[in-house]
Amino acid sequence: MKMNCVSFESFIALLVEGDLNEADRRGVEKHLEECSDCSVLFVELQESQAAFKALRQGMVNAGAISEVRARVLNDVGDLDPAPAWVVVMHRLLFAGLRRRAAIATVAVGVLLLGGLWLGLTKHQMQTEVKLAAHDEPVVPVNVAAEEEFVKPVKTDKALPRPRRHRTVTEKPDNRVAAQSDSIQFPIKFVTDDPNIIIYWLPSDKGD
Amino acid sequence: MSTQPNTSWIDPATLWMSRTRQEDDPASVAETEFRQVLARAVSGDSRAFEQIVVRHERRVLTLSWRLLGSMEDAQDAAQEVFLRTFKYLHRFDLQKPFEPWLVRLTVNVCRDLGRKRSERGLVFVESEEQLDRFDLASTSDPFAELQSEQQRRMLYRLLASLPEKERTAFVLRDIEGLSTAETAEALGSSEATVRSQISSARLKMRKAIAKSSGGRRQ
Repeated sequence: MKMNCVSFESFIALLVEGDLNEADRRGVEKHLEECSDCSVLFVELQESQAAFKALRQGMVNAGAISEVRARVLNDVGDLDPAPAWVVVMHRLLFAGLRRRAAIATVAVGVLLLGGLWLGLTKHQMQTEVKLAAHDEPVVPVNVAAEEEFVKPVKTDKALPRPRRHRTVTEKPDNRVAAQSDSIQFPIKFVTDDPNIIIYWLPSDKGD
Repeated sequence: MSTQPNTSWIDPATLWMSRTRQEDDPASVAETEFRQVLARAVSGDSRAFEQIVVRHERRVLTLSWRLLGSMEDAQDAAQEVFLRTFKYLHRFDLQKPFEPWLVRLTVNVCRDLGRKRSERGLVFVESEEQLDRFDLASTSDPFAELQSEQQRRMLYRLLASLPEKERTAFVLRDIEGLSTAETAEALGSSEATVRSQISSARLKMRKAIAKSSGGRRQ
């Protein structure tokens, strides 16, 4: 048998009873046309399947069945059926779902709600921190660079980790600066929140 | 005295379904009637439950026998299946088909019983006495019948050599004739898993038959 045929065996076993999808079926049938070994395997599988299908004809005899029936009905006579309130509660609680499916659905719902609540709380806290940071003075390190790390400002309140901000600076024109040293340029800081933009006007002393 | 039948026990969903179904279709009429029987059984009618037992006992016992390979165990399993049916029938959704639910219950009971049996050191067995409790398709040719009987015993012995999961999938799919999707539902697994199990089982059975009859390819 070729190595390639070994990988086809399980597909041929499925093809016998039509358990393959259209693409796989075509591929296996094409292989069968080319490979005599696999064609023999296919025929043998058909024969063994036919033999097992013949077992469907054998049925349990009436004596064995009536024995089971007698035992069941005898036992059921001693049992009480589920009370009506249990039936109603079950339908209300599980709404026709399987017990495990219903419990899993409730668990997923609880997890989703918990995640949503946590997300909202975190967002709210971040907004408060940003608003607080807006009120505090911000000290830039190097205003000339186009991209800078904005160092965290020491405040009493906890601030988020320093992040790389894109600092948009209106660069002073060297020619204009040469003409007048006294001209001051505003510095614009862009924060995480697009609604909060900080402008800083440095004085002559640089504070 | 009122001549109106008491229909208070009928589930409203069942009544609605009975109105929407084709009245002239015998299969749907029988199905509607059976759902009414189920609804009565849920409300505690023991006569209705007996009708359910009578309708499904052969199927349940045969399936149990094929899964367990022992008539004694199969009878115990079938008894347990119907007792669980009585106990948990209120959990069954009356708008869904009943037979898949019962097959799944039977498979679960047989698994439990098989597990207990393997703990006791017993395996999938078949005795001469147990085989006598099977009705064979009677033919006029006694030799053909004998040959058929011998072949049947051989096949069940080969079946016994399969691992439990593969045997269950193979029995449901290839002997009981369920579809792959129905088999997967009964086993509580995916169709891909069932396909893998039945593919492996078919190859093993083909190999075992070829070996027992001196086949060409091993």
